[in-house]
Amino acid sequence: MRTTLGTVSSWVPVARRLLHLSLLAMLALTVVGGTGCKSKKKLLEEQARAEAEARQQQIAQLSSELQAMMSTPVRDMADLEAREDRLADIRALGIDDAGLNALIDRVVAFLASERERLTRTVTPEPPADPHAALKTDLNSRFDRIASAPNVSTANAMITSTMKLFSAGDTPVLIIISEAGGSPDYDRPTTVERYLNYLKDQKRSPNQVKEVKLDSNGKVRELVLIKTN
Amino acid sequence: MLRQPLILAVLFLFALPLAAQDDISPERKRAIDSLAMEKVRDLSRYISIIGSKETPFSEGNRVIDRAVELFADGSEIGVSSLYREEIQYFGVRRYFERLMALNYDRVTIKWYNIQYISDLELQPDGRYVGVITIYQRFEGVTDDGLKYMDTTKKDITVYVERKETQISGRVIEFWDVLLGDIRVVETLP
Repeated sequence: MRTTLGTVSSWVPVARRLLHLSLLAMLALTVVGGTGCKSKKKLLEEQARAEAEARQQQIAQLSSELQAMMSTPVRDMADLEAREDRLADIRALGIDDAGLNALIDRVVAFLASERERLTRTVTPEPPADPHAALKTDLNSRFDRIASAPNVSTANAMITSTMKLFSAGDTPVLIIISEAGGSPDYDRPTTVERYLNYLKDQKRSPNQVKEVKLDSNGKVRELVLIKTN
Repeated sequence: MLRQPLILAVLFLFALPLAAQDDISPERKRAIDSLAMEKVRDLSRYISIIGSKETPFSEGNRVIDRAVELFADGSEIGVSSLYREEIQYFGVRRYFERLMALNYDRVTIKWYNIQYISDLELQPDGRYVGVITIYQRFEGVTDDGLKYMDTTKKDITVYVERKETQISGRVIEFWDVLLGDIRVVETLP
């Protein structure tokens, strides 16, 4: 068979050669392309590995930092606030790690207890009552006068108790209620009358609330409060 | 025309604080009730001491003074007997002096069932007034074996008033409880 380009048998080898070249080109492309994907995946894997290592390092570093926060007692409020700020920063990182979160919880509890301790230390204790012993003594004397077995024993106790007061007419105020904000008083009396009242009534219905002393350390005013 | 309601409104506004002053809390009222009751119990004990023949004379007189201080001026105490219908009334001090001088060798007086029969109520004059009732068991015995016993129901009027006094240069407001007349209601064997 003849054509304008020649016989068919003459361009069959050319076509075969072209087919071989195409196949080679495709193979080459496949080989080249396959090698590119492989290196990209490897790159991603390496990147992930590096990131995981970095995360583990960060967790380890933060863990040791959190441990350190609990290793020493908080010195003062400034120290406490600094540790609380750092803890807040760590929490803000939002690292999702069970071990780290457990440590954070422990530090929160530790700092809360330290804050309570510091507050307790800083809050001034109410001043001790300088007249506590005197009040106890007076209450005890009142009870003994009220429960004296006879008039002479009660009178002896009254005489000795009177020595603690400036005078027989030392005022005695008796609070019957504090419900109104300000105290409600019974009719004021004197210490001499009050001690005899205890003897007569054979009961001591009031407790010492307040004592005021004169320059000699003797009671110049007594405030009682009703207890029953 | 608007003037009258305006004046009334102004008067009402000024009257509010006065009304509020009279309105004490239930807790304070209870404290005052119990203070008045305590004074009656104190009197009970004083009467027992004054009547007892074991009380030394000087002690008796001292206790009479304390007992008299519990009463409002001019108060009277009724005295009854199973042997006569008439009830005699004496001034407070005179009553206590007669009680101390009773012609028995042993006298026992006890009060019981002490309770309010009329609660303390605020009066227009600013005082609280109430009535407390008591039962008095009296026993008088002579060495000859003569014995008199009776039980008398008595009503005691109680006045409670807000007063003020000066203590160490400062003004102290207090509740003053004063007992009024003690009326005999009935006398039983």
